[in-house]
Amino acid sequence: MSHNETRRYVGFLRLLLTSNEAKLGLAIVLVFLATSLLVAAAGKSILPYNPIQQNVGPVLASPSLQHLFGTDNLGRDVFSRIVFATPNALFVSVIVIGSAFMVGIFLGCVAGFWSGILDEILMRSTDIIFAVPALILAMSIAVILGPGLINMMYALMIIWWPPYARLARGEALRVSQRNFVEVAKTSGIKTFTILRRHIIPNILTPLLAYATLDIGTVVVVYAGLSYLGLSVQPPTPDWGAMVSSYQDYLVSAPWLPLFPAAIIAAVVIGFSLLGNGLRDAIESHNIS
Amino acid sequence: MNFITFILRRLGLAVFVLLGVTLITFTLSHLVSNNPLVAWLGRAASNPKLAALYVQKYHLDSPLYVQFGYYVSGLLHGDLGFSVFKGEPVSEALTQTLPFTLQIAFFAILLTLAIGIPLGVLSARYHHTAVDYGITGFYLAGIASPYFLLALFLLVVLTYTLHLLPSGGALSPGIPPPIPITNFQLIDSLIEGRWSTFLDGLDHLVMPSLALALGIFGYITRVLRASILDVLHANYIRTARAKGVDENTLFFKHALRNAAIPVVTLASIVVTWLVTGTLFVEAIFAYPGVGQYAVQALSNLDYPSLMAITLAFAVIIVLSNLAADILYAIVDPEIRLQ
Amino acid sequence: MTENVLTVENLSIDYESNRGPVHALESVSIGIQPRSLTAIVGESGCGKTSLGLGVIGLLPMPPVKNINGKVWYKRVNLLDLDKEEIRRYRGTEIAMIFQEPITSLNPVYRVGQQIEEAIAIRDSRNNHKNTDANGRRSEIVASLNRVRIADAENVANRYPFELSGGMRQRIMIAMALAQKPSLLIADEPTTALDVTTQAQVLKLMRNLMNEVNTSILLITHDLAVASQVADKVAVMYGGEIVEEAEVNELFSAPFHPYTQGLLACIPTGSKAKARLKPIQGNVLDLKQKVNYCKFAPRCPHVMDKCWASKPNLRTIKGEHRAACYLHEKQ
Repeated sequence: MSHNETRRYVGFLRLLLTSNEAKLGLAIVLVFLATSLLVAAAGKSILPYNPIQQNVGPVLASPSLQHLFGTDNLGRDVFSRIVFATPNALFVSVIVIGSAFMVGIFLGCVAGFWSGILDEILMRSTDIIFAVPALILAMSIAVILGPGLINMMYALMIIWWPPYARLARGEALRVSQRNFVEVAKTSGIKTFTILRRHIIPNILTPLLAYATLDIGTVVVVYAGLSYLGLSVQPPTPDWGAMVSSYQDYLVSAPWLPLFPAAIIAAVVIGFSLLGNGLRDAIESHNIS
Repeated sequence: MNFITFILRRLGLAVFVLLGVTLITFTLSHLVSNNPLVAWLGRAASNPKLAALYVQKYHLDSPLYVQFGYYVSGLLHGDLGFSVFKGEPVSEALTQTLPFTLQIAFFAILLTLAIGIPLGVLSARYHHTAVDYGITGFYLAGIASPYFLLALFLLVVLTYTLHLLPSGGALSPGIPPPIPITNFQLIDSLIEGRWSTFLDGLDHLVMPSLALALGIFGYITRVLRASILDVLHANYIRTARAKGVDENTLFFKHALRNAAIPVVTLASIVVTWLVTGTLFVEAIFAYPGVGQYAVQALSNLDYPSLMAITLAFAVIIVLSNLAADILYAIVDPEIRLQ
Repeated sequence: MTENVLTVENLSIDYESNRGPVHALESVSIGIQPRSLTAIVGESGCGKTSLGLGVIGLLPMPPVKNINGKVWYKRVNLLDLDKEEIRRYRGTEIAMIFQEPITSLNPVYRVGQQIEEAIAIRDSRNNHKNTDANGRRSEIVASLNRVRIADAENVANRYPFELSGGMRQRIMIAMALAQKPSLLIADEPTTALDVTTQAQVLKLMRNLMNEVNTSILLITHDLAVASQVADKVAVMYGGEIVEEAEVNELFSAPFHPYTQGLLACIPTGSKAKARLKPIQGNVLDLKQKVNYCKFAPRCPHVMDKCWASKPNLRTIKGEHRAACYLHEKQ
């Protein structure tokens, strides 16, 4: 990265961090990332208790200093379980969005740059996929693949690319019509180079902004599918699955289903705030 | 291109899309197992009588594309397969459950608009003040919350703490359901003149609808707020002021009418989230709609039901998109006449 | 002497900016006679739009901080009125049309409906309950005919986006005049139009003035436009009026060096080979309140006196006034 580019990015980051919301969002997201990476790297050893081990404390104990989020019906420490499940959401969202991003850019560029029948095919097939809600479609696919974290990820990867493809296609179309691309085409520059140097850099920014906001959506949909029992199986903890298995204790021990559910919401809010801040910063950056 | 052509084109697209979805559900159900009977009958595939019937009716011994043809024609005749755990044809099960879900959807949309629109107007009017930030925080929490959180939260607060509303079901135990004429319990109880049953039914609808509405209204508030702020700077507002129009008329007749247009484009997102949410909300409130049916089908691995429900949801979404497009054309003359 | 339709007395307007107050108008005074077209000419930022908006209270109050002076209309100081009171003067007493007809009409209502709204406001203020649909309809058509729009019935049913720029501006004029105001303020009404349409609309406004007994205050940056239709011209610079005269007098004997400079800028067909003479120097910084002639830094005839104190508007000849010390030379 050249000196000028570095300065632009730093200026951009500063813009990003001016709003309080973005700062809060960033804080939440960083906590989320840090926790995930720690757990993924160090495993159970950094947790106060073994998340799967039963009877580390009294059954259904309310939150206390020893058990920050209390214990569940089998005496397991809820806090440890929640923390242990953190990487799942990160893992799934990064991979799903990453693949959707790449597939989307590829298909979108092809459709937007060459237009014609390729474009039609893309638009119609995304129309079809859009007609079914993501969660339902993923559910149907997951039923065939069988339960499990990896299978769930595959199911989501299969259906997640359409918005990215459409966004990329729109931007590719817009950029393709600009003069300098016409010039490049007629001067015989190889198509791939045009794509790489001109089209893609222009597409990246709106797509990245969308992706940040989208992480929250993946987390919510994944949590929903996990709630339905389609992801990790017991006794391994997962946020959504925890909510559904603790649901019966809503009256006697409401913290059991509510804490995991609230954590999901918190993570989503974090990414929303960050995504909004990113989008606003991009707009101000473009204006200036 | 005029209005009629516009609608016909949209209709054509809708049909195409639905055909595409049936292709997907057909493919998925055949990926489940090599035995095509499983797609139609699930676990009942081993039942010799049903098996013979279905092999003949849907030509399950013919190549796949032929089967697809019969699949589609079967769909159009209302045959969606047989649900083992329910012990009845899927179409029957859907006929029983769909009205309940539509009842929730109706009130959910009503509540979404009733909460979302005023809050959007307020946050625009008092933008960048504490009111605005408060509303923003409120709706962000709503959008970000997974549906089961909202449902459980409402349950804890309204039922278990304040004892205001029942915890689940469509009617309180002990109240006999009305005679199914339209299959919509609310309408049926009114037809029968059973006012208390009607009210009881409403009582049971509040929380499921509210749980959904709280998760969706934020989209409306957010877009409306931005749209109103945008419109208020428009030149035609200045013209209206110069004409001597009073502030109220200015806001409602001139500004809001224009600001509402982008909100219509949200219909697609709203319906999608609504449909998705019913799964969880109905499961938690034990409300006998399609969502609960879907969750039960899931745990029973009832493929015919699952595929049919997927298709049903697609139909709902495509139809509501069509309605939204029409509404958009009505509301924005430029779309209609260009 | 007949009474002025509008008399502006020492009007000053300050805007708030993040670098301090901006003095958009400083002690501007001008009178508008009945049945006359007065043009206010000046470059962007000279305060002419603020003057127009300030008269009928359309200045956005958060950026605008202070408004001093008086604006007399029918023996009432409009600046004394509160928001609701001044609203009653808008449209039916003093109407205003703006620069961009494309965005100045509400896109979701038909043109006829928007004119009808104007008429309804007028009727309610006159306590005239004209609820007859046919009557309204024919009045809408008449108002469109008055601005020379052919096929008025048809046009009234159209949405703004279906019509051309020139048409839309005529409709704006029709809508304003339908309320029968005594004064029409037109802020750069022809700037967004092409030259031919510009000429047509200007001619229309001139003719209408006599037909409906409405005075016009025309705000423009284009001296050529003023020359085509004005009776009286006032030249503004830096928030002040620097010269005012009857139109022929101004164009034949411009006194203030700024006016002379503006006139020299107009490309005329005859001097095809001559170069345009721009006015030297930069646009003013309106954040400073100064005690000298604002044009001094750019004036080709500047004298020491010009830097010592600010020249007031003084009579040069008859109704011709200029804010310049040059006449003392003679």
